[in-house]
Amino acid sequence: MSSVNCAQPLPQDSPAAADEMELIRRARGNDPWAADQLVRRYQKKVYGIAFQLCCFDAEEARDTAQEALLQVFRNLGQFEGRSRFSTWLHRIAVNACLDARRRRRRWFRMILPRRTERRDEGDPEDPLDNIPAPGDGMDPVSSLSSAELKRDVMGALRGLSEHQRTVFQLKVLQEMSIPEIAAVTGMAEGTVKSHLFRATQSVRGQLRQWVER
Amino acid sequence: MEKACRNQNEALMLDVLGELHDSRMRSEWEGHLRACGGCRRERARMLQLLGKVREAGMPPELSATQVDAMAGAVGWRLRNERLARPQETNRRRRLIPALAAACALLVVVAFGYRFKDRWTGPEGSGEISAELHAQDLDVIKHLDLLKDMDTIEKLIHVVDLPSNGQAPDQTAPETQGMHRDDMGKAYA
Repeated sequence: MSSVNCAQPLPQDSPAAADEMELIRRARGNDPWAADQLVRRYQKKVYGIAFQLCCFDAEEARDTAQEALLQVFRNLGQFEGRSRFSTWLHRIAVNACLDARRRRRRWFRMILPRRTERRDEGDPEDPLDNIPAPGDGMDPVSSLSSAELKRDVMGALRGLSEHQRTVFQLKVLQEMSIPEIAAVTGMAEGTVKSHLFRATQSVRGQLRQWVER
Repeated sequence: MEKACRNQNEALMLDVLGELHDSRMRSEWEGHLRACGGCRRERARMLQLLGKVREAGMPPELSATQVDAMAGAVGWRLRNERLARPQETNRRRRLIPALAAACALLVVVAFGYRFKDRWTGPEGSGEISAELHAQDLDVIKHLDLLKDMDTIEKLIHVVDLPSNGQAPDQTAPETQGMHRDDMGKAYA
């Protein structure tokens, strides 16, 4: 079984797109090989979305990506081919990740209120603990710098309200437009814009040292 | 150092976030940018900042093992869901007649309860209802006797009325006009 790992959107009339449509058709018909091919083709993309929406927690992102991929396959029957499959998948994955995040937060609030508070206050796993050991082929100074950046960005994101963070992540990391964000979150476009502006201002204040260096 | 203009903040934000679609606003902003060094610098800083955020948000590469594990887990769960689906359908198919029967039974019971008084006569009532009505039946059985008692009492009252016109003894109204036996007990 060959594995394909490209997540680039395919032009709709290309042979690869035709091949993708064939895979989708077969996956709808419960063909496990076709489903496996689609999972392998898009799992990195979905994992990336989950990682960015799960506040850069790799383990949580892997679980969420799995859930999101399952959602994609559960909804495969609804894909009509009007848009690109990658666009449709992106939308489903973002929704699934936001749902998973909400569920997880509700769950933690219910059983571990104190832990949830701590997580929200910015006591997550420190990225500085996960710097690769020397000898992994990476420059330690740049590793340290990127770990510091990640820690500061995480801190800045945790300083935002839930709505501001979601809107900012969807805009900056998922590059969604304001109407798309409004559709996904159920907020009015004006509200999205207002949250986005406030979030950007706040992040700018928090990360000032990174742009003035 | 020249600072960014506060009144251009919205245009600046929309520009760096890629949301400046209004052509008039865009041309005004571009004209302003050409003239204002502070806004140019702030725009460059904001773009750099958003670049840094995107850089921090780059997910770590999934290892080959993780790729296989995730694909395997998704495939396994999909297969399980598909296997579970026909069983669920069968369960639902079995559940529907059972549910219908339960509903029908419920309707019959409710109907019976609503019209139970029409169908159950006094003799038809069971042991419990017989016990419940025992006291009432006793009262009904002795109703004639109670009426007689009432008549006798009135008669005694009239007969015992003293000729001198004095009222009968008021000290013991329940034994008025009654004779007394040797023991002093009153009887009619």
